[in-house]
Amino acid sequence: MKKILEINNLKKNFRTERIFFGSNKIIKAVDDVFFSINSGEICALVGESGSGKTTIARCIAGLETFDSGSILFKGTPLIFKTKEERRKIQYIFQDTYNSLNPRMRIDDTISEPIKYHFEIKGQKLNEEVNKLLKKVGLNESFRKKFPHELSGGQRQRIVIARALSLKPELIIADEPVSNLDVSIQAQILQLFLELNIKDKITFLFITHDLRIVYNLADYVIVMKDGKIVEQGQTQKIYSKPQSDYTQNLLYSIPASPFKN
Amino acid sequence: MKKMIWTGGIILVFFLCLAIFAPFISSYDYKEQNINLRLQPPSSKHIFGTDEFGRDVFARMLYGARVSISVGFLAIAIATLIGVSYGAISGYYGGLIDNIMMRIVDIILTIPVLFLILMLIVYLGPSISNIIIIIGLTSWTDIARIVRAEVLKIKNFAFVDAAKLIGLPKKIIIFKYIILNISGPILVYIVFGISGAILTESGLSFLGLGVQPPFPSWGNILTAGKDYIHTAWWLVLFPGIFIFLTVFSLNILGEGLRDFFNPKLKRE
Repeated sequence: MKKILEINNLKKNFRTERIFFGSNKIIKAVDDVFFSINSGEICALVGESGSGKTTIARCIAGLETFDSGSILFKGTPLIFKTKEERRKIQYIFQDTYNSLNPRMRIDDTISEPIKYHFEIKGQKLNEEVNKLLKKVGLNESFRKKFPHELSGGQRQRIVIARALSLKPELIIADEPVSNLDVSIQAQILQLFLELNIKDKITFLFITHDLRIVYNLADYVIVMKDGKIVEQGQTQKIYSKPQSDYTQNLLYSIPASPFKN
Repeated sequence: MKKMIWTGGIILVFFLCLAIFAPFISSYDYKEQNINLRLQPPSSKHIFGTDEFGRDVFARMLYGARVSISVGFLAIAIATLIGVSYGAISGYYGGLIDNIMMRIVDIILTIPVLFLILMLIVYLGPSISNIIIIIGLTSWTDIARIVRAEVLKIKNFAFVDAAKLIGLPKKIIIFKYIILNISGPILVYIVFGISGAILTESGLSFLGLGVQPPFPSWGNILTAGKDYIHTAWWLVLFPGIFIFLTVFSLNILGEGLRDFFNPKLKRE
């Protein structure tokens, strides 16, 4: 299978601010990380908070710079110089409350990226927005609304519609359902699966919830303290976890089916 | 909170109407002198009395409102334009740029503003446009600091990242995604700023360095009146009340707006 994303030796350090005469500490957020994602797969990045999952995701999306290593998208390093390059990787945020501009109507939120990238106007733009809303399970009546009028689940659907409007090839979903209640979680995850199968969009799915991963992901990467502990096909990781950390994670699932 | 906005707003609109409709409210000319009628106390003909040249004080107050209020609004318009751009750039880019820009603001803040204004006016000459520009150029630091602090907060919100992911140009991100979302605090500052600028202008005119006679402003009507304070009380009372009420209305309006935009205070 073709690799859509390759990450080699990725390193990223954060420096804490020095207070008076104290020395600044270096926190290794991402420490020598290797992995790759096959085109068309759903890859899950799993780990506890502070393990560097989000930092990796932000580096891939170009929201953060990294210290060393390389990120290759279809074999070439990403520099985000062209519009074309920019739109191919999109991001879905954990924070459903702050991920939409509170001063923009949904209509504007979804049509802005389309106008900017594809220079579509008028009736065609109109149809495109309706099509996107339908795809994420909403209808035209949402177009005139403001974000504060929507529920968390609806907001997350709008964020997905905005990401889809750019026809991305890779979507990074950073804990997209952790702020939502369980019934809505299932619907959103179903939507991801549909997008993966029908639209052939590759997903990098970041989560700390191993229950979600089992049904969703093809490939799992387990992280701890900025390092990859274990990676492999989902079935393999769940049936024969190699490291103690992965085992602990699996056993900590309430009513875990993976206990011995 | 709503009461404050309404009270402040109504008083302010009242004074704005006085300024805008001055020729329709009073039939007297603000510079027409009549020596026979000098220092007349308030009467039905001259409701605020007349001054030492026999000019109608009410008419002078109305035209003075035009000067005082427009100096306040225009000076703060300049200050807002500079302050918002400065603060937004400083906050958005952060790091070294932010550090340098904010240290410049700190230096400016150490200069006593009123003396700086006095010096500049003595040097450039006291005309209305000079006063507007000078007040504008000396009062943008507060808003720059407020805007910077708000930008620092907003720029980490996910919707700003979303705009970056679309690849939108920086100026669209800064204006449509950041500044639009801090219009509340900016508006509050504008209201307080106008009240401060009106007071500054009155103070300057009182010192004789503001609007020059025969053009009326509330400050110079007050100055002219101070020589007659024992015999002609109406010359100082009315401009004093007008300045007080305008500044008061702007301050409670600003206070009300500040509470209105504070999400931590519950809205009834």
